[in-house]
Amino acid sequence: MIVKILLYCAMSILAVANEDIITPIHYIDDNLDTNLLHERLQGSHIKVSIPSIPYHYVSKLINGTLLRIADTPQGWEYMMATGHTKIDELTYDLTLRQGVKFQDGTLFDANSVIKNINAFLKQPFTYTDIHHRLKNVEKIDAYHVRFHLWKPYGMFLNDLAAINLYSNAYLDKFSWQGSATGANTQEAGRYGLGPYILEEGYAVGRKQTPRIKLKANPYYYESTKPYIENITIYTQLTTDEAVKMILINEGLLDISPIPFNKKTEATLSRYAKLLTMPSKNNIMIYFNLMKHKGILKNKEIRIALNKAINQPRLLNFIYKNEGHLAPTESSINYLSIRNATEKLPTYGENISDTEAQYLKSILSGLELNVVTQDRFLFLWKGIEYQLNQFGVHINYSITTSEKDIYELLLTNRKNPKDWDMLTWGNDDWYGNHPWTTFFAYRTSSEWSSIDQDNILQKYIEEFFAYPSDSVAFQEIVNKIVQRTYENAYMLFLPSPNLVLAINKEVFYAPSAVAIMPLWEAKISKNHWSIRQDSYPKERLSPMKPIKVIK
Amino acid sequence: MIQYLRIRYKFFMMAALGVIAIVLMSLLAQNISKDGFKRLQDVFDDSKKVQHIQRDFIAPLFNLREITLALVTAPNNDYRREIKKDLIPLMQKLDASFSFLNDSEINLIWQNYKKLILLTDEYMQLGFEEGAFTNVNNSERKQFYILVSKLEQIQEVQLSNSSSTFKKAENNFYDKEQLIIAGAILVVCLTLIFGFLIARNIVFSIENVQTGLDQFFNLLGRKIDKDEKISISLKSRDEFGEMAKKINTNVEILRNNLKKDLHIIESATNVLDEIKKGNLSSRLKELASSDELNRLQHVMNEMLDNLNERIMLEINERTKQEQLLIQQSKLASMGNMIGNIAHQWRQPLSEVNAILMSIQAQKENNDLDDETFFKGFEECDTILAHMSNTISDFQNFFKPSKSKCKFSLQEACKSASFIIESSLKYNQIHYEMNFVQNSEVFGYPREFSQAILNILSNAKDILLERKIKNPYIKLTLLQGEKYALIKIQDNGGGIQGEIIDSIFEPYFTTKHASRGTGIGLYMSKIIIEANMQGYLNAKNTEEGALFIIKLSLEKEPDKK
Repeated sequence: MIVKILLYCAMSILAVANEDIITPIHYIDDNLDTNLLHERLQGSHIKVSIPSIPYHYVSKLINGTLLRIADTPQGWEYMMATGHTKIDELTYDLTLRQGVKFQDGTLFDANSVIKNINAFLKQPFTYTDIHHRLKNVEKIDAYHVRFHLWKPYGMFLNDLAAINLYSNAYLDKFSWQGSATGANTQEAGRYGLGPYILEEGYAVGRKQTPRIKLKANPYYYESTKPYIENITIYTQLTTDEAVKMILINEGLLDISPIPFNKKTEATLSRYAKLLTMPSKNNIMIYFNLMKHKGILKNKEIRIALNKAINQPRLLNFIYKNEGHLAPTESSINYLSIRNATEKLPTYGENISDTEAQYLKSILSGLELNVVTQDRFLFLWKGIEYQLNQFGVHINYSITTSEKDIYELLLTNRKNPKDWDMLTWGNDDWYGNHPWTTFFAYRTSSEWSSIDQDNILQKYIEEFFAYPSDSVAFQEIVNKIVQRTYENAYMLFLPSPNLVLAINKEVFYAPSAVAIMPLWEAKISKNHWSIRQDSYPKERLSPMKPIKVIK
Repeated sequence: MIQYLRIRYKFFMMAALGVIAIVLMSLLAQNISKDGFKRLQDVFDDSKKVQHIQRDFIAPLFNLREITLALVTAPNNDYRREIKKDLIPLMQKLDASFSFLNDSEINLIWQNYKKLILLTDEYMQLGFEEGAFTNVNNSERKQFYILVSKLEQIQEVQLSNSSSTFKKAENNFYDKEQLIIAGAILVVCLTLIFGFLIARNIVFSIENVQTGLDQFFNLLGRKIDKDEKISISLKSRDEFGEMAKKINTNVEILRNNLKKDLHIIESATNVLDEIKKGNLSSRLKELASSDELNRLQHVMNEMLDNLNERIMLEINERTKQEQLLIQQSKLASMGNMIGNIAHQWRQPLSEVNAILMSIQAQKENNDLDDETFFKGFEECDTILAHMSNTISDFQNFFKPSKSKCKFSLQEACKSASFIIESSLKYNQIHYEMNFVQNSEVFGYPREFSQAILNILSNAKDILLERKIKNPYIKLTLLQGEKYALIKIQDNGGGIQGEIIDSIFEPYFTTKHASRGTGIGLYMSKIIIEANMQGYLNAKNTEEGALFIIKLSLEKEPDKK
């Protein structure tokens, strides 16, 4: 009897104790290795949200280029070319990959290159200077071509990473349609050399469909890739939609950038994991110097606005530490930019009370029209809070689609618009190269909202000439950075990290530059697209976030 | 029973009752205070325990919670390093506190909470901020509130103990309060009953004594018959009883003495009545019961003897003085009269002298004839007859009136004026009389004229003594409906203020001893006021004195 009573007491105590002892949340590791599928299964499918420059990302998935932008020191890697020789400043020889077929099964060789380059020269893209520098290309043999330049062009190889190589059928139908935004496949079809075939929808610079479907290219030169058969890309999801689709539900979205303030939700998600890594993405906030009687023509106000932004606070409270202080709009993660801005403080650091009063006297009562995608609204709320301290009032125009941003930006030069500031998520489309941001300072380009700066234009022209690994390149970068910094041509913000929510059953290694190597992505056998059973319960636990440090 | 006790014992009983009541109440109050103090000490101890939990556990835990939250929200590692400086010492302090608590269950929870905090810190160090944030706001938070809740439960128990102790103390207090009230009522009732009985007994004794004393004092005040029986019927054996007995005995003695004394007093009254009637030889012969009355009787007899003797002496002295005064007055009057006669006679004597000188001269010249001689002789005879009449007039003037009669004030005034007129004229004092109307009054005419003469003589003497220029005396007779008024006014400078009230007193004089007796104005006042029921007053005018005599015109005025 006594034993029974003692036992009962002990059990009672234990019961109470168990209820009162809280165990911490258990975070499972991202241990996909054992479950990853290393071969493409029929029906395998991932869904991706690409809100910024989707035409660029899609292009990199469906098209082949001689070189492919990559997070390498030079910013590219070989793709359809397997090697190159710089004969002299004006001549480059490239060796082509052999045995490669276009998605329609036709052979890729030197002729394909000659035909594409010739078509390109007829209607090139204009966001670099290649249209002024590239003279012609000649066939040396079936798998060797030689490029001739009009004048030295340090960005030549980087530009080659942007010239898509289309099949003959495509060129015959669409030719090469260069523009301010670069070219992309105009319609769904087997026209490219990339790992995926554009099966549905499209995305070109100024227009896109909300949904684009891709299918694995059976002729892709890396025969085992891609590992996932189908990809659906969403180009115009709102931030809330994207967050709900990927964090709360399974099977609606597999990869999506998320706002910095959704990191915790991503960590605790039942279906997604968090991945962060430094990027060379740039958040560009244009000042409209083209606007008729625009207040931002006044350099003093532009500087005052930059000084009103306290980047450390923005970084802490808005970026949630997912970024780095940056004195200019260019990502600090570019080596050349880091060098150029080494001695430049961010404008808003260490503002004295006296200076703050002065800024207030300048900025108080200022009313600014801001255009932004909704995905940057969280950032703007932080900026607005800081600017409000100085009496600045902001009127928003918000859109979910980047094409609306382009419309207002790219027509601004011709027909100046009413916006004062415009936000654009300028991912590193040029591949570890500051031209990604510098091109917006070229006043001859639609991408620029600067009315006139001859000195800067002179620097830009000079910039084209130097290869990115040269001393002269760094010097001219320094000058451009100094010039843009001094004139405060944009609202300078911290350089953002890449913050992605990824389905737990997807292995994906993003690039710091604007390319999504989805052909290398894999799924596990528990992925919704191929899983037969219900999702394993243990996988519902929060997963330790993946922090990529480069 | 009570009536057999002495009053001091009765008061002692009452005082003892009060003291016992106070002692009992004090002991009860002391007991309540001690008990209350102990209860309060218990409440205080429990409160200290509650405070101990709050101070050493809950407050530091909240502090710890705040620090861990700050750790997570800190903007960078610099801040975190600063925050962590407080974290570890605080955890160590709490470790020590929990180990002293001796509660394994709570200690276990605390250890787990500590682990969760360290996990948050670990996450932060790993850069896993989301994990740290989630941990802080999830597991750590839950554990924190469970821990705090457990501690609050302990607090609750201790508070409950405290409350229970307080409740006990409260109930105890109310019980004791009722006891005190009951005790107080009992003591008050007992005190009242005893007090009432004792007081009634004392009051009864006092009332009896008071009644006896009242009767005794009434006897003294003769409000009751001296033969009436006076006795205090008090049978108590206390001080009042003894006092009543003594009073009764003494009252009886006093009543007997009183009877004797009353008899003595009656005899004394009779003696005084005899003395009042003028029989100064009457004396008190009976003896009283009391020595004092006997002494009084003796003193009274001595006093009467003494008084008799002194009266006789005074009468003799007065008689002598009056005789002397009368003699002086007579001499003065005589002097005055002779002076006046001299003034009256001065002219006729000169005339006689002139006739005689004429006759002598004619004789020496031998041209005196008989006719001239006889004529001169007749003239002298006539003059001498006039002089003789004058003497008669003077004699008549100073003769006292035989009885009261109606007389003319004008004639009386003229009569007085006649006596002094010559003297005034001789001394060049202007004298005038104004008689508005002749008035007749009832009285002594000669005495009245003498009074007027006295006033006029005094006026003359003052005018001469002060050597007044253009001296005058005015006599005015006025008559009203009921009174006649005689005013005698001079310009002699008036009577000195300090003596104006004394001039009518006997023997008061401002004159030299050879000239004044001090009896004149006194006599005048007696004549006017005592004999004729009039009024004589004096006052000063701007120039001199004014004497006013007011006499009733009634035939026989009433005596004042």
